[in-house]
Amino acid sequence: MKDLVLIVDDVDINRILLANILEDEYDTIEAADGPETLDILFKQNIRPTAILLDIVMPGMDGFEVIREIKNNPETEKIPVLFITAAVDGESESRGLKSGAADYISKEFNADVVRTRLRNHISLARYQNELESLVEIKTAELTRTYDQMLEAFATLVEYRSLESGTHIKRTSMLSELMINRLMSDPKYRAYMADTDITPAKAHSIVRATSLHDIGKIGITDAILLKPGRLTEEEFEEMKKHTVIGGKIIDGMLETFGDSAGYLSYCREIAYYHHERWDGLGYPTGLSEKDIPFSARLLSIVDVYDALVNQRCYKPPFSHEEAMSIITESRGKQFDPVLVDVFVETADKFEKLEDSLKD
Amino acid sequence: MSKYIDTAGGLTRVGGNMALYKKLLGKFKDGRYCEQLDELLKSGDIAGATAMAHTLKGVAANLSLSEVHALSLQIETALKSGDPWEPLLPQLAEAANTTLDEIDAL
Repeated sequence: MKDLVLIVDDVDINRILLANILEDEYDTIEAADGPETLDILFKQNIRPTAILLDIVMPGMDGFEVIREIKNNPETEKIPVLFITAAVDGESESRGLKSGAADYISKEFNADVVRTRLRNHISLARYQNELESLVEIKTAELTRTYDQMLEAFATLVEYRSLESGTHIKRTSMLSELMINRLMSDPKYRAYMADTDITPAKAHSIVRATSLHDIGKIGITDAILLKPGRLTEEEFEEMKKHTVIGGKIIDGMLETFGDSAGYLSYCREIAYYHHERWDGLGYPTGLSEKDIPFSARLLSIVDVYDALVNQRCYKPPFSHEEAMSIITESRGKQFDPVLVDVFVETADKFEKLEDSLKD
Repeated sequence: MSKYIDTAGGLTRVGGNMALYKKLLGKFKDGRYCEQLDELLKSGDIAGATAMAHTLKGVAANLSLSEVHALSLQIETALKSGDPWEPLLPQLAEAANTTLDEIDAL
């Protein structure tokens, strides 16, 4: 199949000449003015491989036409070559600045037109191929990254034996809360204050899966102990936050944070046991000094631990867990996030039921 | 070679297809471009005349109508810079007539 070239010129003699020059190599379609060009592109949705465009036309001129073409994501990558009798340097420079791939004066040489057109088409094609290749590679990289994180998270799960699906549930619960925060207008100011964009929110949700990675550094005697921990044992257990933070510090040093969420992994691992009132660990940060991601995860982490069985306790009911968390509003937890939690809670219950240990 | 029509040059732009070249010259004649420019100038429509001089320049260039191309370029330049274009009118008429005669004779 031949590539399609759109020829735009208000004089039929010029269109016929160009069509004749191109007919061996291309299929051609013609437009006599700006509106007809836009009709072909945006009403009939015809996508030519390249466009030859006259500048001086009655009504809408070539500069206005190319602006419409370059402002539309559907057509912006189509190479546009100005073919014009305006031979002054000023309109040539204006033409090229407006996004035209080339500028050819009338009284053209047929071979020059064909060759330039061929060059620009292969250049555009090469560029498109490169762009889609980059897209594919980026997606592969992101997938690899996700798999790596999941592998790390799984390590913790197997090691601590506390919960096969705790990580999955906490990340899903975090997502429910974040979606609520992002969609309800009454939280707009809160979100603006925490500087969370949709892209960042997405990273945070993925980053929650590593919150307990530091537990791989805690001895089995403590990690798997049935019943209450002694004070010394609890001090040991607390170290999983700092250990987790350090593990991710190491990853950050080695890999950097080009994907944009290792920093979130780090702050969640490090601060997810801090409390709003400053009585948490490891640093005793309070209120908004605690990163948003960690404040959020701390609620779903506690909720999930409450409603599921642990080696040291039986499961609580959803209602019991709810009342424990709402009582901790403004004490252990960010009050606004507790409100969001309450509003999302019915979905929590359903999700917990479908993903019981 | 005629100084009005550079047939060889024009033919390069139609891949040596004489029939197509003649057809396009016929369209040029039927389009009355020179006459339209002449009328616009005489009626004092400077904007319209400037646009038509530009169109004529492009078409004449594409068809290798050397004299008409040169004159339309001079007229367009004069109109844009505000120089007197009136002296060019008789020359345009002469070039147009001879060119059209030569087209018929091809």
